[in-house]
Amino acid sequence: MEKIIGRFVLAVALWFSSSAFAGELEYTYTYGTPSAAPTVDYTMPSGSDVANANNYTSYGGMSPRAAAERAAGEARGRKIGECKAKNDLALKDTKLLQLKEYENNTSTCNNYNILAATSGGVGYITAVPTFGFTAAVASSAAVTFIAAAQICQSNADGAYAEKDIITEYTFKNFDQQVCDKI
Amino acid sequence: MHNRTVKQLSGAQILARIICLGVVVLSIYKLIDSRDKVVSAAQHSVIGSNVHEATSDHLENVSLEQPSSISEEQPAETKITDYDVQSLKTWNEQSGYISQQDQSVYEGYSESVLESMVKAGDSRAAAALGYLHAKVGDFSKAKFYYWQAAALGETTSLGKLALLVEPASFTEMKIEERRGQIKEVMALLKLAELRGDLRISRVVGNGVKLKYEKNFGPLTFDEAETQQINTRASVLYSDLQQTRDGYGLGEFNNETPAIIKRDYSSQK
Repeated sequence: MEKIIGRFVLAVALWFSSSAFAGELEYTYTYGTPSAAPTVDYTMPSGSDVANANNYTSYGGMSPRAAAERAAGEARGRKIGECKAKNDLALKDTKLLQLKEYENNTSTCNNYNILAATSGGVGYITAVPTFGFTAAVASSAAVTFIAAAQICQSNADGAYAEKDIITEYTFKNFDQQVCDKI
Repeated sequence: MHNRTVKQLSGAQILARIICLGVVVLSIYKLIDSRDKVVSAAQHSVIGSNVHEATSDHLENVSLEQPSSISEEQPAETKITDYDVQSLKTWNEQSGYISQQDQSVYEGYSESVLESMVKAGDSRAAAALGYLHAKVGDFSKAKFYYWQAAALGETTSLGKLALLVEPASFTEMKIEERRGQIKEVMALLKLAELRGDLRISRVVGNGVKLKYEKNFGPLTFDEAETQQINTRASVLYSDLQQTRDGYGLGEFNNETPAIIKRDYSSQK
């Protein structure tokens, strides 16, 4: 008999607790819809904002502290999103600049081909541009203009690939070390 | 009988036989040596043509070492004619490989002036406008102007369009979405190849592939996907030709200069 009463009490307790939980879930969903959002200020709340929020008796039906925390979370999410978007924009800008630089370097290399043609294949050069490529062939020996054009273009291609990869990793690192840690 | 003959060999005959043996040994040595040189030359040729792979390996252990025997590693001389050089020069200018000074001139013009220049069919003005809009994050306008530049002849703008489509490694997106974008990048680079610019296609393509593989694993396309990329490239080509027609220009000249073919056709 005691067991039956005990089970009944447990069942009633479970019934009430589950109802309360369900209500909270339902409320959260309502708050999460866009129609409820305009009351939220999308900036990172300061200490005074949180204090003010605590003075309100109601914040869309949510407890003032929970509402403030929610607002803070959303503001943080927004700031992270803005940070990532700005980072992506800067990355694209850098990539385009690098491609422009590559075109410019290629134009420079082409001058060696022109020199080769105008010198009748007898011209030599001792310094070929490396364009900052770490694995560049920077010949100190005299090479013909035709060889110089080839070395120059290989260096330009390599420099572009190297800078492109470094850029990608730099921006990825910023994304993880700065944006994600806001 | 046979043994007796050997014993009867004179000193001169023995010497002759030693010399003979020496010549044979020397020949074998020369043969092995020349084979090593051929292998070495072939390896150098591979390094030269796949400079991006070398870069990738190099970046694995970042060091600032320079090659030790530079003079021996210079590319083989290839005979190029004045015609080859002149056609490369013209092609470079038409394709968008221009000097910083020439680019700066266009960056000095106002937006409205550049727009009127584009209407008159100036490809460099279109590329300058593309960059102007990309810089402030207006990618739809940037793409529009890079596309105009490509229609007016600048194949380098196709490389820029590919870079604008390329997903960044940190961008949160589903794998199918990322793969879809990579395929679009490849279609744009295939379009550059169809237009005769093997250089931008290979250089940008290798970079995109390398970054993708560093972040997400091997990038391979099966037969169906390759077909899909090629079909998309053909559609893009027709669209680009239509845009070109709008400027009253004729069919594209898709010739690849001999020097570009020599330097890039061995790369995939």
